[in-house]
Amino acid sequence: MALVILGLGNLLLSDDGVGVHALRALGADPPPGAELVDVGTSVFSAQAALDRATEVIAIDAIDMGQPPGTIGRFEVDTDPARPALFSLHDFDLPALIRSMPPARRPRAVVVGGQPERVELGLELSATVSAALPVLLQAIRDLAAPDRDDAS
Amino acid sequence: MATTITIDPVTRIEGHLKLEVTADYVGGRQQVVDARAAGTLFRGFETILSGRDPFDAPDITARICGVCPTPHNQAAVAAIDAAMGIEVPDNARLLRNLVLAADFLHSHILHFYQLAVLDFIEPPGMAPWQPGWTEDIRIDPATSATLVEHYVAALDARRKAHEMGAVFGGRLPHTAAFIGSGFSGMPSAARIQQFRAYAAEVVAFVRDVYLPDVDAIAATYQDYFQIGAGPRNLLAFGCFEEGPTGADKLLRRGRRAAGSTAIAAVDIQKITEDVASSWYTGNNGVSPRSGTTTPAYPKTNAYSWLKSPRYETKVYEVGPLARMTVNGDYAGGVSVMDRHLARAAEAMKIGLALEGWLDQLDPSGPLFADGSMPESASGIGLTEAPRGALGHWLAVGNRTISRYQIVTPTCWNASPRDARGVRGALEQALVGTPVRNAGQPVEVLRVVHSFDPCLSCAVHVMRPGAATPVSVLSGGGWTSRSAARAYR
Amino acid sequence: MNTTRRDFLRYCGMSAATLGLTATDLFTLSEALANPNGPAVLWLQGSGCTGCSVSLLNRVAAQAPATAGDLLINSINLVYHPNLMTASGVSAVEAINAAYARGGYVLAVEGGVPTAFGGAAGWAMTEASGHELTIAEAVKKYGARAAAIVCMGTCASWGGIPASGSNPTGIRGVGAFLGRPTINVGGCPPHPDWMVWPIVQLILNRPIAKDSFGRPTAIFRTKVHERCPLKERDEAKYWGQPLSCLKSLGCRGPEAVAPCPTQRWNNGVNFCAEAGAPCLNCTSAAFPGRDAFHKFPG
Repeated sequence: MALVILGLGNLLLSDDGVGVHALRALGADPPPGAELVDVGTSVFSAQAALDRATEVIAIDAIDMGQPPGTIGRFEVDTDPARPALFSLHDFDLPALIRSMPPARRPRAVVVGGQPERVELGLELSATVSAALPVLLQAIRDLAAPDRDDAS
Repeated sequence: MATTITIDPVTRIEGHLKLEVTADYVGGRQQVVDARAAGTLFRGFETILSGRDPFDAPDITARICGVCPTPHNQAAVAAIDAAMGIEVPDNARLLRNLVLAADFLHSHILHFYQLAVLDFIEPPGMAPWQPGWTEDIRIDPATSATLVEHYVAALDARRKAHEMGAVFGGRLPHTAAFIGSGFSGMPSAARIQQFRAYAAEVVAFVRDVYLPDVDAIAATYQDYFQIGAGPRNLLAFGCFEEGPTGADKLLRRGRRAAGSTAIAAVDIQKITEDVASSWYTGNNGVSPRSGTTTPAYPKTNAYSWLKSPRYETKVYEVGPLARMTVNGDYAGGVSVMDRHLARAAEAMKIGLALEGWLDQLDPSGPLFADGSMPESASGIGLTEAPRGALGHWLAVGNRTISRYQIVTPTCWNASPRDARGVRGALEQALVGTPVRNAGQPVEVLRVVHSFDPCLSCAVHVMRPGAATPVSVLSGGGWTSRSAARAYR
Repeated sequence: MNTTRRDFLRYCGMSAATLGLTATDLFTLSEALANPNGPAVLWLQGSGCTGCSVSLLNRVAAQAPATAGDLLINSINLVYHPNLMTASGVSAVEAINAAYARGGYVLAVEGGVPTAFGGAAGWAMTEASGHELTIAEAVKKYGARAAAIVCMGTCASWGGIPASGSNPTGIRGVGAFLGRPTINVGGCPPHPDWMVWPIVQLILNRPIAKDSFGRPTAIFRTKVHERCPLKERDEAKYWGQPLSCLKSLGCRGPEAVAPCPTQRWNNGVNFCAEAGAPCLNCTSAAFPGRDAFHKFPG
C-alpha cells in the first residue's frame, strides 16, 4: 500500500486552510509509511503524488451543514465505471482522481472540519483550532494499516 | 388555440438539435409565438484536451466538427503561436488562409444545396430526399429539376473545394498540416499551379451556378427578407490574415448593433455567459474563462445544454451576414434571405482572394518560426468558422495543456434564454415566423437553416453533482449524515 | 434484392455522358423503376463530428458508384441520414421506423455511443408520442433488426477522440456497446472508398474478411510506412524540411495500418505525409492515444 496524505486549503482564509494546518501538525510525527504533500489550493499539483498512491487521505475544510468544528469524512467516488466530467474552471480533487485511468485511481477519503470562519486571516478560529487534535487522531486512525473500512 | 410543434431531429444541419416552437393565431394568422432551441449532444473537449501536449490541440479540436474542422485547426495554431509569442512566416500564414478558404468554400456550397435548398423546391422522388413536405413550394417542377441538377453538380463542386484544400493540407476533412508555429509542407510551383486550377473551377461554380440560384430562390421567396431577423446585432472576430500582426484581415473584426450603421470594436472581455436556461448551476454573466460548468438536471426553466454567450449582455448573431456586413461588403438587412445572399457573396469574395494569396507564396521560403513553448504560457486564437466567430483559449502549465476553452459560433446563434429572459438569436428569429400548416412547418426549417447551425461545436463539459454521503465523528464514533461538499 | 434495377441504374450512371442523360433523367429513371422495398441503409449519428459523412461525399472513383451523387441515386436506398434527408422531426422518425418494421437493413453508425448519465449525454430523436430516444437507445433499437452494422469511422468503431483522455461522456464503440460484431471502418475520417466498399459488398451479398479489430482486411492490410514514398529519404531534423521522412518528428506511419500512400486522398491529390504532416494513425482502435503527435528534436 502506498499512502499519500494531502493537505488542501487556503492558509489566507482562516478555517479554509485547516487541511494545511493539519498536515503541518502531522509532519511533526507522520504516520508510518505515509507521504505527506502540501497541496494548498492548487489541486493539479497533487497529480504526481496521486500517480504514486494506492490510498489517499485528503484533508480539507468540509461543509456538512454541521456545527463548526465538527469532524467529518467521506469516500471519494472513484468508481471506474463513472466517467469524469469536470470544468477546468472549477477543478476539484474527486475530478482529478476520476481523470486518471480507472486502473490507476487510488482509493481516496476526504476528512476535515466544518469551518466557522473563512474570511481573511492566517489563524484557525478558536472553534476549529480546538477540534484539530480530534481531526489529527481521526487521520491517524484512517492511516493505520488495519483500519476498519466499513466504519 | 396554441399548438406545440416539436422537431427532433432537426435535419440538414450539422449535429444534434431539438426545436420546440409554439404556434398560435395572431391577427388571424398562425405564427410562432415562442421557440426553444436545445443542443442535445455534448462530448467534453475541454476535458479531453487536459494534460495533452499543446501542439496536439489543432488535430484534436478539429474533431469538434467534420464540416468545419479547419477553423478549429486555425484557431488552435493561432493560440499556440500566441502562447509561444511568435509570428509565423508569410508562407505559413498564406497556406493556412488557402486551406481554410477551401474549407469555407466546401461548406458554403454544401450548405446552400445539400442543407438549405430542399426547403424551397420539389425534391427528387427517392430516399433520402423523400419523404418531403409539400407545403409552400413555389418553384415549378421544371425549375426544381434544374435545381436538383445543380444539387448534384454542387456535390462535385464542394468535393473539388476539398481536393483544392488537400493540395496543401494533405487531406480534407481533418488536415494534419496546421502545426503550431508554422505549416507543414512546402508550396512547390507544381502544387501552386494545381491549387490555381482547382480554384478556377470552384470559383466558376460559385459565380455561374451558386450565386444565380440564390438570387432565383430569393426572388421567388421575397417575403423571407422580412422573416427570421432575430436581434439584428452582428458580431465578427474576423479571419484570413493579410499581414503578420493580425491587424489586417480579409474580413475584419467588428460588430454592428441593431439600429446603428457604425462598426464598433470588439472587446473580448465583454463576452459573458449565462446559464439561466442551461442545465448547469452557477452564476450568470460570467466570463467564459472563469465560469463553472456543473450540471443540474432537471432544473427549473432550463432546456438546453448550451449556455448563453452574450456581448455586453446583448444577444449577437455571428456568421457570414455578420462578417460581410461588418466588412462593408453586404449592404442588405437581417433576415433569412439576407443570410443566404451574404453567404453566397462571401463565397465569391473568398474565391477571388485565392489568387492573391497564391501569388505571394514563396516556394523556397520558410514554413516555421523559431521558438519553443514555454513551460507556462497562455494564448488566444480568434478566427471565423463558416458559421461565425470562433475562439480558442489555451493555457499551458508544466508544458501540457492545463486549460482549454472554446467559444463557438453556434453557441452564439443557438443559445437559449439568458438571465434576463431574452431569447437567443435563433429563438428570436423564429418568433413571428408564419406557420401555414403545423404538420409541415417548413417556414420554421427555413429560418433554422438560414443560420447554418453546427451543433457539434456548441458543446460543454459537465461536472457531476457534488452531493455525497458523509460520515460525521461524534461521541467517538462515525455516523452517517447527508450531503457534504469539500471545498476542493 | 432487385439487382436488375441496380445494374440498370449503375449502367446508366456510368454512361450518362455518352447517352446524354442528365441527372434529371436519372431521377426519372429511378422513379420509374422505383423499388421502395429494396435494401435500405440507415445512417445514425452518435457522438461524432460528421467528418465521416463529409468524407463520404468526397467519393470519386473509376468504378461505380463513381461519385457521391451516383452512390445516393443509383447504389443505395439511403432511407435515413440526418444531414441529407429532406424530412425533419416526426416525418424523419416515421421514415426510419418504416425501415425498422421491415428489418434487414444495413445500419451505418457514425460517432460513438455515449453512456454517461444513462445515455443523456446524447439524444437521437423524439417520436410522435413525445418519447425521446438517446443515441444509446437508438443504436440498440435499430441495431436489433439490422442485417449488418457498419461502423463508419474510428469513433463508432472504438470510441475515438470523444472517448479519449478521461472519456468524459462514457463513450463506447458500437460493437462493444451492443456486444455483437460490427464491420469497423477505421479512420478519422475514413477515406470515402473505405466506407463505400463494405456497403457495396453487403448489397451484393459478398463476404467481408476482418482483422482482429473488425477492420476489413481488403482495405486495412499494409502499414503506411511500408508504402510511403518518403521512406527512403533522409529523416527530417526539423519541421518544414522539404520531402523528408517524418519518423523522427513523431510520424506514426510505421504503426499505422492504412493504404493512404498508394490510394491517396481527395481524388489522388495528396496524403498527410506527402504534405509534410505526420501520420496520426487515425485508423487505430487506440486513436488518438496519449502520446504527443509531434516531436521537436533539439
